[in-house]
Amino acid sequence: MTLQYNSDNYVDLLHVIAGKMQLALTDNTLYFPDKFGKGFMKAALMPHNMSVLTGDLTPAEDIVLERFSANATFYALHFVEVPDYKSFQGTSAKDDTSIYFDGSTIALVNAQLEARYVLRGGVNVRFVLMLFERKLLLQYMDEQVVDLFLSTYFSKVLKKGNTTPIDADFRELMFDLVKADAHHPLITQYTNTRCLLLLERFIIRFMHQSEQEQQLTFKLNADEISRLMRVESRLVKDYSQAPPTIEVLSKAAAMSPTKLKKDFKQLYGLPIYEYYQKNRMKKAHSLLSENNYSIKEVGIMVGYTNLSHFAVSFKKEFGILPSELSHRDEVLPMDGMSDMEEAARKQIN
Amino acid sequence: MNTDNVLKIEYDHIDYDDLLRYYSRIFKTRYQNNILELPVDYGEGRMQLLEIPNGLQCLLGDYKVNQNMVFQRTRNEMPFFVLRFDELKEDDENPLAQPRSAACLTSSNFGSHIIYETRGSKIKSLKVKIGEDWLNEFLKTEPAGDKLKSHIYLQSYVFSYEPMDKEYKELLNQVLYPECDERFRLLYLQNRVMLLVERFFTHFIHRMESKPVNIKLPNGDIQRLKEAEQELIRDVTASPSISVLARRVGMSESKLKVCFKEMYGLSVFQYFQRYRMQTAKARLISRKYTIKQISEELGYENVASFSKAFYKVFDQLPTDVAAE
Repeated sequence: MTLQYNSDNYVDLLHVIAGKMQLALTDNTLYFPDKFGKGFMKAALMPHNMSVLTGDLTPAEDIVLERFSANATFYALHFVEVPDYKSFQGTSAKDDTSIYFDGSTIALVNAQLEARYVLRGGVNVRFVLMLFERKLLLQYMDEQVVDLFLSTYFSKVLKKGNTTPIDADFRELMFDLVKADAHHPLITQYTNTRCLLLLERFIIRFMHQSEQEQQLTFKLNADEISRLMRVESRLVKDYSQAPPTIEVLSKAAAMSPTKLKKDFKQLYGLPIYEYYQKNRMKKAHSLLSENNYSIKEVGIMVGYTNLSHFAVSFKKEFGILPSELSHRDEVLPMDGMSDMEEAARKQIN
Repeated sequence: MNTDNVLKIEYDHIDYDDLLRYYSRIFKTRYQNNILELPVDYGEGRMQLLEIPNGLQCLLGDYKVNQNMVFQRTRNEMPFFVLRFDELKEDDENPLAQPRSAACLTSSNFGSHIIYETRGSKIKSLKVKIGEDWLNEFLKTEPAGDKLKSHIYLQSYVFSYEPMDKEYKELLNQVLYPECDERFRLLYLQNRVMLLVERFFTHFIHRMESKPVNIKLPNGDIQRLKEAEQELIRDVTASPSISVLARRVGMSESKLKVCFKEMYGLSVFQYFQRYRMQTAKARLISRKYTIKQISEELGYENVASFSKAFYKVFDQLPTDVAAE
């Protein structure tokens, strides 16, 4: 199925897609019936002309989106993840002019240029796409900083492709956005802040990475990065099981253990097992914050059979015990609630 | 508490930049680059203006108090709200001193606000000024927007107040000590402030719909506490005693007291009294009843004791509300 569009927001695009499929949208969400695959896409308008398209989708056949050039200076920031990387290994031929959503990637694109996006039939993708104007960046950063970021980014992409991997922090925000409950009482705010957090993290991570790389003598190429991303997604896939050994990982990445360790640290900033442990604890933290599970249940979900080990590891990461997470302070009285203020008032009068 | 030597500061400034200029004259110190460093006679640390791109103005405070001070906002005709996050340690030297904290929504045209700061305490605070227009815009497209707005304007203190947990404090710390490259700081700060604002209003709505927030209690207990709450406010003229309440929902008295406070943020009687006075306030605002009628309806023997109770909760007399 091929669709052509030149809208400057994703809500319009979603209407185009729904129209082509002859389906109706509910709450700006398009649920795919079996005929077209499974999963959904949803779109939302944000303040300052930003729009967002999120989805968790396995289309039955390829969906091709052809974008004509937009009028204003729009940029699109794409976060795409294929949860099971094996599913796209037998892919059919690609052509160079298309962008395929069949691997995990973060990419910033200039929406003024024409582009052709392909969602692969049979491949499960989870994505968050944001479309915004250059003006949005100028609200938060000096013009020179924006220009530096954009020029560094696009020149690097030309030379080496996209090099910022999706890591556990990005994944968590993506998950929040894709799974966002349409009935969240402040859904627009919830979505907007998380999109801006993705943007913040992306810009900071990219600039940090590229400024650091200038000092490094060796650099990773696109192929190495994609293999490392495979290692990462395998590493954090299931915390309830023991993590794969370095040996297993190095086979999966087709790299020597020494090179794997060194390159992983360069790309993700931490040694393999520290990265694993940190994100495992973050996972525990967010599960506990959901308030649906007991500490014991969460401990088991992240692979601890011994609860005191879990507590110690948790404290090492966050400085507090799991049981202290929901602790609230003593009440600080406000406005007439307090004896302290009563006393103050007497004193003044 | 020392009765001597209290510096009283009255202010009615709407703009935090103006307010900091005014403070700088009082403290006889410089205010530059949005930062006011307190002179050591008054405190150690800073007050800081933060203006974020989405239109919110914030005032940060991070200091140790060296001089007893009272800050009092006098009434101002221009209505706006202040969402404040305060963390206070009364004795900074004492490692065992437990911090006290609050996230709280207050309004400028609603009584006067008095904040008392005692010598030796350590204060971390963030005030977010929210104008009516901004609030309208903010809630325009939100599913719970209208409902939330009507509750905000009713000034239901039961909903607009909560002690802070770790997550709040972590975010407050990130705003006070941003770990971020200067070039990207505005985006970083706006995101953290908005996470705080979003979290507060989401909890506000949950309290409004009496869903417990972040409470580690078994479901059975939550159910019993809800029953206790219903029972407590069934009759606004008089509250049942704790022992009656405890027996009715099948909990021990001590457990009821502790768990109730955890779930609703107030003690059983504070909660009852707030509910009772909110009922009074809603009646007053409706202008259908006299103060005397309301005071009788709520079970007060005379208007004077009603007025006193009302003042205690709202910092304002019923006659003032009626006159507005």
